[in-house]
Amino acid sequence: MAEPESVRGATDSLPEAAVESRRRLSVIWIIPIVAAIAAGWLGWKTLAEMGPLVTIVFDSAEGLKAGQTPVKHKDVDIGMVESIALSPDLKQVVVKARMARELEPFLTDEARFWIVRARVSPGGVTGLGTLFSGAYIAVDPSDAGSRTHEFDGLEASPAIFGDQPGRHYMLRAPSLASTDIGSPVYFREIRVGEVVGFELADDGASVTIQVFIREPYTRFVRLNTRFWNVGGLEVALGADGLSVETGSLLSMLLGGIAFDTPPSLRIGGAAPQGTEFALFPSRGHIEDEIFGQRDYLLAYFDQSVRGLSRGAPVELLGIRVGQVADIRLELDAEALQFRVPVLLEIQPDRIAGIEKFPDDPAEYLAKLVERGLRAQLQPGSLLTGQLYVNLDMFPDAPKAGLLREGEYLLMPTHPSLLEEVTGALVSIAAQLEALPIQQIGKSVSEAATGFSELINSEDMKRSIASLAETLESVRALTEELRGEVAPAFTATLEQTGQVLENAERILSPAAPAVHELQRLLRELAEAARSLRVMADYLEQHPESLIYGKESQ
Amino acid sequence: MSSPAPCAPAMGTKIPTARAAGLLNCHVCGLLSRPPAAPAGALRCPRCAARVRTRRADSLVRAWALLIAALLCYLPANLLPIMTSTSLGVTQSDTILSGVRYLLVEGMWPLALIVFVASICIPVLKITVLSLLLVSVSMRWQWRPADRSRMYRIVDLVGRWSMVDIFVVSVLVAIVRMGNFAAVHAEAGAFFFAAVVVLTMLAAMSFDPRLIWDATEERDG
Repeated sequence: MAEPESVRGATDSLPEAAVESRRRLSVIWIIPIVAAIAAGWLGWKTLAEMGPLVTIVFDSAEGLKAGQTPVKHKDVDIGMVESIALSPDLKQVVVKARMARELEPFLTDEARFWIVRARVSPGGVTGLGTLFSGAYIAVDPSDAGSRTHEFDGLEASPAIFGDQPGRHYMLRAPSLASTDIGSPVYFREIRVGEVVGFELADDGASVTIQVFIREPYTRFVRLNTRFWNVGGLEVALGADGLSVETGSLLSMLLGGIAFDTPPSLRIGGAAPQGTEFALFPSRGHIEDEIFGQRDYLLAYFDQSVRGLSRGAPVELLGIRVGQVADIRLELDAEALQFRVPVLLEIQPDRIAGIEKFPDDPAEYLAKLVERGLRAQLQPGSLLTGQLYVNLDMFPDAPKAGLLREGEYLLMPTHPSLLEEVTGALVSIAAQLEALPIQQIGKSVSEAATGFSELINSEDMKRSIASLAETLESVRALTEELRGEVAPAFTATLEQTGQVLENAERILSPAAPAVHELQRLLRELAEAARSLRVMADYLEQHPESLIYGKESQ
Repeated sequence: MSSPAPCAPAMGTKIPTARAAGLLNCHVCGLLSRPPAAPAGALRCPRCAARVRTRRADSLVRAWALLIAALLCYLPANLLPIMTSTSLGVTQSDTILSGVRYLLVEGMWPLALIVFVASICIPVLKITVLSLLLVSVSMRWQWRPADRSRMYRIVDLVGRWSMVDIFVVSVLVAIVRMGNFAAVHAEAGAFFFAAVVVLTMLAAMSFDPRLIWDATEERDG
């Protein structure tokens, strides 16, 4: 350490640096810092990932457990049931579930929740996996509609999910029949959709069935498409005879709906989502019901309506224009007469051109009735004895006007064909009865008596005697002729022989006259044959003398 | 301590200690040694070469740090599920408390009691007692040093038993591996719980119980 003297002297005079008692932060504090970071990060993550809490109302919480039942979409856990409680009125179950945060934009009023449980239905067995894993809540998220966190859970899985392309349509039907959620919808026996829901109308008079038609089949649903029920078996005995109608065996058992667009003069465009259609009970009905407008006419029949039933056709010139809506039996208090009022349901749209007439049928019907339009009962089938109501023009019918009874127009009736025939027979019998048969018999017997008297009279006997005398004188005359006339006759014969000799000369085959004669004879023979043919024909068809020979 | 007197010496009795005499006591071999006049660097036991100090190094600071870390881990340990069990497709996640509740509901109350004591009472007890000890020493309380020493001994003794839960979970995770039929997975809560147990044990180890008595000696001295 040889340091220059000058440096040492300088350093000695320098002030000493102060010693600072350094408070070193212990390394141990890293542990709580790490712990704080870990716990803080975890807490932040939990909070950040905490999605929305949704409330779902179910009818039953069967199989659900708070903290264990997951909410799934496409079998991916996207939520967890946090609590299960009863609604304040104890009628429903309120399930609160914490959903994944990513699901927030899809929780709209279009989203649907349902509980997946093992379910055995005629259509198949679903949710078997839940037998082991327990029930879970499935969700069909939807980004359409407005955001909400309150949902009503469905009772069963919707048949169609929101992400499936297709369209919903509403079908109005008088009853649900054999349809159920999941019932198939067929187009030409191809399964193209399903029934996804149904609800009773507010007034309870009809049922609205919601169906879903998958793409690309929606293009077959037109505004004039008809839907009908293919479930079950329809057996009908009507004026047309017995008819049995059924779809495929499967649809017969499961129920189902089919649709088709009947060829029509009225072309409909593509049906937009949510279009409402009527659901017809069978394919046979779709034609009837195309015609929406219905008018009702009341007709009173005085005869038996045995064989006429509700739904029996009402025909005009053989074309169905409506059906019998109701039949009753009534006693006319004043006339003390039974009569049968029959309510006829007429679909005026079936008659082309009628739309040119005013909406109120009373106006043109009055004119038609004036010209002889009448209702008449006709046997539709002799075998079954079913009757139908025939509307026809009877210009000779007694005059009648169009009356109104209550809210119905009154259609005058005309006796049926059978009735007319019977009437005619009765009148013939009456005329027969009026004939003076006894008198006629008496005259005939008198005539016979007169005749007998004539034969047995003296004059007759005398006549016969004179006849015998006459015959005697004829015989005398003949003998006289034999004696005197014979010689003269011989002479004549000799002369004739000469004549014949001459004739032979003329008639020799070489003679021209003979040839002519032979031809004549042939023609005569032919003429004779024609005559015979004519005679034969006339014998068989004597009327041809008057009407001429009928052409073959 | 040569006197056969009771554990808690009467107040006011002056007891000679190594620190008071300016001597060092080796923690490992117990040899009493004398520090050099001008210490330069760390001191070592002349017999076993272990480091010798009058008191454990940074005892209070370390204990505090570890205790705070344990406290921070305690919340997620109880809030997060410690394991997920899958049985026949039913997946169930349990936190410590929900496990206790489950056992209780199922009627296995002795088991519920054991789990409750081991997993909830003991950690809480350890954290509370350690906090109390640390606060008392930092504030130089002279209150019942003998009782506080007993508390420390209890905490030290009982600490390892809260690992029961962790052992159960680790054994189950290792054994129950049958796919969908039955499977057990450890969850984040288990790690935090293990951290609480380990950190409290470390905190108890870092704490030097002689500090409890130092305050009384300073007053007496």
